[in-house]
Amino acid sequence: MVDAGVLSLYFGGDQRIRPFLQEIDRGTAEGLILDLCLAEFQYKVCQSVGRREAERDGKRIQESRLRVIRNSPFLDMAWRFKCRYRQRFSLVDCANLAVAQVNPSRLLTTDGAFDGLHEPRVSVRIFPVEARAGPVA
Amino acid sequence: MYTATVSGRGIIHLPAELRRKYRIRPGDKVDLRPVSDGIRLERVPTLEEAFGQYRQHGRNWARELLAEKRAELDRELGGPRRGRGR
Repeated sequence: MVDAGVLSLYFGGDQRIRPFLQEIDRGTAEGLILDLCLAEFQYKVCQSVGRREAERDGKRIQESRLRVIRNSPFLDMAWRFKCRYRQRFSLVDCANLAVAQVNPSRLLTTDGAFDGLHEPRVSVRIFPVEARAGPVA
Repeated sequence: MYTATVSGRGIIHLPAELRRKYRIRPGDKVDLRPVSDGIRLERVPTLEEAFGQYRQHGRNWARELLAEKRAELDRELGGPRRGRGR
């Protein structure tokens, strides 16, 4: 099982990682990666190199022997949001944003970072936690 | 310039010269990307070929990812963590 950091080191040419990925590539070991980690890696590539390269690398990993464990179909959109809003939102926030865009809806959140967000088919309602407006159920 | 014939099932034959030039071997995957004036074909590189592809970024990304994870955990815990055992 590899995480986004190890994948970054591999793409960065770290010789310590190479034998493990080679074993997976040859089929002598099974390799797994969580889609969340792949999304983390892709937004890093997107931020520093470009979106097209991030798409290509994602495809390359998906078509390799490294098996991608799918948790959320929205992560492929989430890394693109994270690439755009790096300092503003966490990857989890970006996954929420992706779900809200695919299923046009109002995103209810306590996170003020969403204030003033303009994304197609997404509206946001913020409930500040500092100033509670109503009774807590 | 090369011309290939499309078979009934949509199969085309890639000329050997192009396969050699672009190192396309049997079993390789190729991307077909629609562009404004046609279709662009690109071989999907293997994982092994990706090694060292981002030599100038890889280590920084790993550091940033680690820092982001720690910052997130710090936020959850309401402040910087102590006694991480490192």
